[in-house]
This record gives sequence, structure tokens and C-alpha cells, in this order.
Amino acid sequence: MNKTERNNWKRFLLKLISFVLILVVLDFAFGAILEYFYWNHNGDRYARHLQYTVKEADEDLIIMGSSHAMRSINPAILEQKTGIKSYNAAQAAQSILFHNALLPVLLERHKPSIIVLELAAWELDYMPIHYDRLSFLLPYYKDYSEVRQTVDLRSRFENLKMLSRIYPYNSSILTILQNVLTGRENPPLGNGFDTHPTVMKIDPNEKIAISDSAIAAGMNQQLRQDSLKLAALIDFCQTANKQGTELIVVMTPKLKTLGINSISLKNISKILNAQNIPLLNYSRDPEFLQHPEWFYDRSHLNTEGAEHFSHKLADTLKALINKNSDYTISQKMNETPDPG
Amino acid sequence: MLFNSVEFLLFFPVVVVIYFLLNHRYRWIMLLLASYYFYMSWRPEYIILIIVSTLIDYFAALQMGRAITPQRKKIFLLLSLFTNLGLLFTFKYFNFFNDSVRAAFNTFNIFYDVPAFQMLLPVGISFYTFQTMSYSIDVYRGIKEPERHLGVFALYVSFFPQLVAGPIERSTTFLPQLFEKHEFNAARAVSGLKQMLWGFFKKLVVADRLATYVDAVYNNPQEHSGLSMILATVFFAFQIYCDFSGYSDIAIGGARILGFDLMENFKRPYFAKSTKDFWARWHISLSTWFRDYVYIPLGGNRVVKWRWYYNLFITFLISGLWHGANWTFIFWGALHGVYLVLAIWFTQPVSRISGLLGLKSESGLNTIIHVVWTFTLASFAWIFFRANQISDAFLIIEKIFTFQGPVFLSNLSSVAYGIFGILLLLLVEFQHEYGFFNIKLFNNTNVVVRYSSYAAVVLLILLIGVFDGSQFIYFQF
Repeated sequence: MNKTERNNWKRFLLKLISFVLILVVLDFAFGAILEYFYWNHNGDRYARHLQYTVKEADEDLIIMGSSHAMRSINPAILEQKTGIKSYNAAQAAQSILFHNALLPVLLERHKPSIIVLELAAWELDYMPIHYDRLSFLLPYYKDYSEVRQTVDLRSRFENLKMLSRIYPYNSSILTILQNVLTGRENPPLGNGFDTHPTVMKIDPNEKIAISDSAIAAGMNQQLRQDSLKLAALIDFCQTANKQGTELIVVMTPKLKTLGINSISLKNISKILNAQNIPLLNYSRDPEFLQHPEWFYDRSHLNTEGAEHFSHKLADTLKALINKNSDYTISQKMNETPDPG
Repeated sequence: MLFNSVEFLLFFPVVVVIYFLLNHRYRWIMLLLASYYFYMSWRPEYIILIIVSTLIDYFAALQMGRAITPQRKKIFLLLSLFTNLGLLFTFKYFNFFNDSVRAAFNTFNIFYDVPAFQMLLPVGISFYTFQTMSYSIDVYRGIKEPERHLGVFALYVSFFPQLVAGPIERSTTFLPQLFEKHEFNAARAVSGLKQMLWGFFKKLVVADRLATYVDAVYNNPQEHSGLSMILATVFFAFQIYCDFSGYSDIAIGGARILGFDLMENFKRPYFAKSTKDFWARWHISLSTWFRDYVYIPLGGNRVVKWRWYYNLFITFLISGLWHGANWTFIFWGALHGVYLVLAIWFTQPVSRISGLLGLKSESGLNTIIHVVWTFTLASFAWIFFRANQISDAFLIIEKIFTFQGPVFLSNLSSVAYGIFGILLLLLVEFQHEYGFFNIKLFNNTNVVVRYSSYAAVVLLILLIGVFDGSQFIYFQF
């Protein structure tokens, strides 16, 4: 390396280091602002919902799951019928990976008697998007080791990305700006139930989805199984079991036939059977299949459907909860016919 | 290894530092090893294809150089072409060809059951095979002397910044650079980093953000309205531009830091005033490749008119097929061929109408009309490029023209980020194209403005970029 080249290097490195330092300061400052608004502003109701689950929820019956649970299970109805204080902690678009990261965080602070975990029949299929969606947990990465283990599944270098203080709040700036500038305070989700009143438009093609031929077609849908999701489900069951929390797994009614005879469903049943955990599979419940007007779309119930379903689920749960005996729910379940 | 991965952000600085610390004589070895590592981090076994292509072309070119008769020269050219096209056909087109033959036979109730080839498409195979084929053809034509240094030739084939998605470099301009001694130059390094930064912005903030909307609509065309289709199509026009030109920017910028000059691959294509102009600005390294090795050998425009039109159409049809083994790409290429032929037919009537309307060819209004019209034509063709199958493309077009239903807006903030990215991109490109505002940011003489603009782009990437490590679209070609 000659003198000119050495000087070139020096000049360049000096500029680069100065720029990196400026970036570190800016990243810290912007990250701190975003962090403040994430934790202290009520504008983002879904972020607030997750914060409540992690930091405050003290109900005795906690519902976990995806949008299927969030839109279909009204905890107020469960509470009214079972007499157990309930909260719907489901998060839209999330999978068992997310629930498995959230459960120990919740149990560390509060141990509910019952957890109702909603799963889809295709839950264990490999879907890369479920890893991307774990980004919703990034604000909790720093403080919870259980979250770290799961979020690290997103990529090999997630811990390096987390060196940035902005990164956990990536894509949230517009919501924050909108809420702060307009002073908008979205009403919190209350008991976590987030319903859609709209009735699904039914055209002739949609009707096919509930016919027998569609069920037959569903048998052919065999996607690659995600071993990490399998492990997450086993882990979820064991964590609940270790903490003495009763676990019940539910599948909500759907018009679409995706996964109804899938390997995923068989694997879910196998795991739950092995741990003696009841599975309430309503995904092909004839009562709901006969009422497409109870659906918001092919896999989510609307307000009316959710009310019917919550009553039905509450009745089953009530039957399972034997207040007068020492039976656990799982033992009792073996005597109850599968409602699905 | 993807450019938009943490792996690359660690790999690249290490390569740069070792490269400049090494004696010039050994740098090619280091770059070759780095390039092979870069490629093998995706799927190690496919490096064999690059090595086979390299060895055959090296050997064929040497033999062409030694050949006494034109026939012998031709034999070795054919050896090179058959090897590269054979690799391409086997790995990229066999299943498409097989399926098409099966479909044709089935129409006549003829049993045909050749099994599909169960292999993944090797990343970048269309790029490196075209780059080496151009070398063999140039040696055959006597434009380039055969390269005797096998190692440097192997580096020409596999140079990591442009290995998997171009620009497709010519041996006449790029090979000599591999022998030159490149000293570290701070100004070049800064300029390279700036171009890389802008490439990351295009990919992470614009392309990947728009992809979420485009994928949602194009993967379920039955469930979306005409308005959503229009929005998704416009978004796709910017997605593919930012995805591919973003890759090119990172490749060109990275190579510049190492001391190499790669050719410009995109020149603000959505400011083109005609389809011909569009192709002078879009994927320049490929369009000039097709011009020099397909269109001109077919006779170019120095033939009778019908033959000229045929040459244009065939060149674009092949270009479509180059992009992918699917009828959608063939339609896309054919459509561009038709655009160009129609443009020739309508040149005079259009200028007459413009004259009657009093529109001067250089007037602002005329420019706007031509730019918008060219963008509309390009976007319409993108429908075929993006659709998962040809029937989807026709369904999308039908829906666009029926124009019914609400706009799909499931994630409003994501759409807003995408639109913001497009506007910022257009503003920067508008400035480069017309120099209207006379504002300089990355190249401002004031150090505060310059550094602030770099920092603003990095912050934008961190704030609204998509970090799911998605692939570049052109990797599949």
C-alpha cells in the first residue's frame, strides 16, 4: 500500500466512522421517541392489546390464538355462562410460534386456571409469513428471554438487527404520527374481542366451498410440516401443564375446507392426545355450515356468528368444568362427545 | 447470499478490506474464492454448473483462437453455445417444454408421460450463461482475443456483485479491468456506497413494501376488484423497477468500491417517451445483448420492412422467454414486440395529429402525454409478467376494464409507505431527468446537507423498510 492509498484509506475511514457515529446517535434518538410512544400512547389498539396481555391481564380464563379467536370468541359470553372472568388475548395473523412465545411471559406474572388456545387445522403447515409476523414481538425482545428465543427464528442475525433501537418499531411511525398529531385515542379492545358485523357476500362459487366435493378437495391439501411449529405446540402444552393451567384447544367454524384432512390436523390431534388435552373441533360444525350469513369471510365469523359460537363454546366449557368433583377438564373431556 | 441480508453486510466489508490489503497479483484469487463462496452460500452443488460453463467456454475460445479454418472455429462456437443453452434448457425450460408438449398431446388424446425434472432453478443461470456466450461469440467474431488466464476468466464469469442478476458485462470492457491494478480511492468508495445506499432504499423501502400489496391482489385475482387490479399493476411497475434497479445499484456501487466499472443498467425508464426509448433505458445490459447477438444477426432494420418487423418481434419474443419458462413471459415479450412494430406504423399519423393539435414535439404537454402513454403500455404488459398464469392475466385485464368494486386496502399504512417511496423515487428521478429544481442532496458541496441526506435515507430504511429478507425478483431468471 503506497502513501496515497494509505491517505485515501485514512480519509475514507474517518468519514465512515463519523457517519456511523451520527447514525448511532440518530438511531438512538428516533428509537427512544418511538419506544416512548409505543408504550405510552393508546392510539394503536392492537399494540395496546398485547401490552395488556403481557403486563396487566389477570383474568382466570385466557383465550389465545389468531384472528379466528379474536373475532369468534366473546369472553363476555364465556364469563356470563361459566362464571369465570375471561379475556381474549388472541392476536390477528399470528401462529403457534407467537402464542408459544407469549405464554411463558404471561405465566411468569399471572397463572390463569384455564387457557383456551385456538388453532387452525393448517396451523402446523410451513408458512414463512408466520416468521415475518413475529416482528410484532420485537418491542419485547430486550426484556423477555422467551420472546428472544422465538424472535430469533426470524433470521440468523436477528440479535444484530436488534442493535438498532429503531428496528423494533419498524413500520410503526405512521400510526404513531397519525395518533399523536390527531390526538387520536383508539378505544382499547376491552375484553380483547374484536368483531366484524359485515355479512359475507355469498355467490355461487362460495357455496361450493361448503359442499362435499370441496371437503374431498381439502383432503389433497398436504403442505410441508413445520418442525418448529410442531415443537412450539408441544412446548406450549408442556408449559401450561407445568404451571398447572388447564389447556383446551379449539378450532372455530370455517366455510373454507383448507386443511380439514391435512397432516397438520393429524399432527395436532396426535400431540394433544399424547398430552391428554381436549380438542374442540368446530371447523366443520354443520350448524355453522348451514348459516353462511354468520360469516364475515370464509374463515371468520361475523358478530352474529360469534355470538352463536361463543354461546356454544361456553356451554361445552361449562360442561367440562366440573365444579363438584376433582375431575380435571381433560379427564372429563374423554366422556364428552366431540362437538365437531 | 442476498444483498439485502445481514450476511452480505458482514461479507462485503471483509472482502473489500482483504482485497485492498492483498498484493495485486493475488487479488483475482481472493475475488474468485469470494465469488464462489457468495454463490455457494445459496446452494453449493450448483457451483458445478458455473465451473462447467467456465471451462467449456475457456477451452472453446482458446480453440477458436487457434483454429485455422472458419469451419473449425464454428465447431467450437457451437460447442460453447450448446453447452450454455443446454444448461439453460435443462434447468430452466425443460419442465415448461415438457408440460407444453403434454398439454398438446393430451388435446389429441395421445399418452405422453415424460417425468418432470425435479431440480431447483439455479440462481442467476440466465445471467452468467449469457455473459459467457457473449464472450464466445466475440472471440468467434474476432472482436476479443481468447483469454489465456483461466483464473481471471473464471472471475469474469462469476464476479460476485453481478453474478446472479447482472448487469450482463461484455468481455471487451470487463475482462481488461480484471487485470488492472486498482488502488483504493476514497472518492470512488464514497460514490459506490452512495449508489449502494440508494439501491437498498429502492429494494427495502419501495419494492418490498409494494410487494405485499401486489402479492395479495395478484395471488387472488378472483377476489379483487378492477380498481385494486389497477393499483396493484401500477405498484408492480414500481416494485419490479425498484427491485431490479435496486439490485443493479448495489452491484454497480459494490464493484465501484473494489475499483471496477460496471455498465449502467437502468436510466429512469418510466420517463421514457416511447417503447423504443423505454428499452434504451430498461435493463440496458440485456437489451443491448439482444440487439448485438440476436437482432442485428437477424438483419436488424437493414432488410425489407416485413422482415424488420419480424426481427423486432422475434427478438422480443426470445427476450420474454429469457425472463421465464412460462407463457406469461412469452406474452409479455410478444406484447413489447407488437408495441414496437405498431410504434413504427403509427409514427407518421401520430406526428400529423400532434401537428394538427399544435403540439410541438419538445413541448411539456407533449412530453407528459408520451411519458404517461409509454408508462401505461409498459404497465399493461407487466400484467402478463406478474400474473401467475396466463388465464389470471386475462382475468385481471377483464376486471380492469369492468372497473367495478371497492379498492382493497387491508393495511393502509403499508400502502402509504409504498406510495411515499414511489413519490420520493419519482422526485429524485425527475430531478435527474430534467434538473428542474437544481437541488443536490447526495452530491451537495455542503457537508452537512450531504451527510444529512445520507442519514435521512438510512433512517427511512430503518423506519419503513421491509426486513423479511425477500429475494430479488430477477434471481429467478
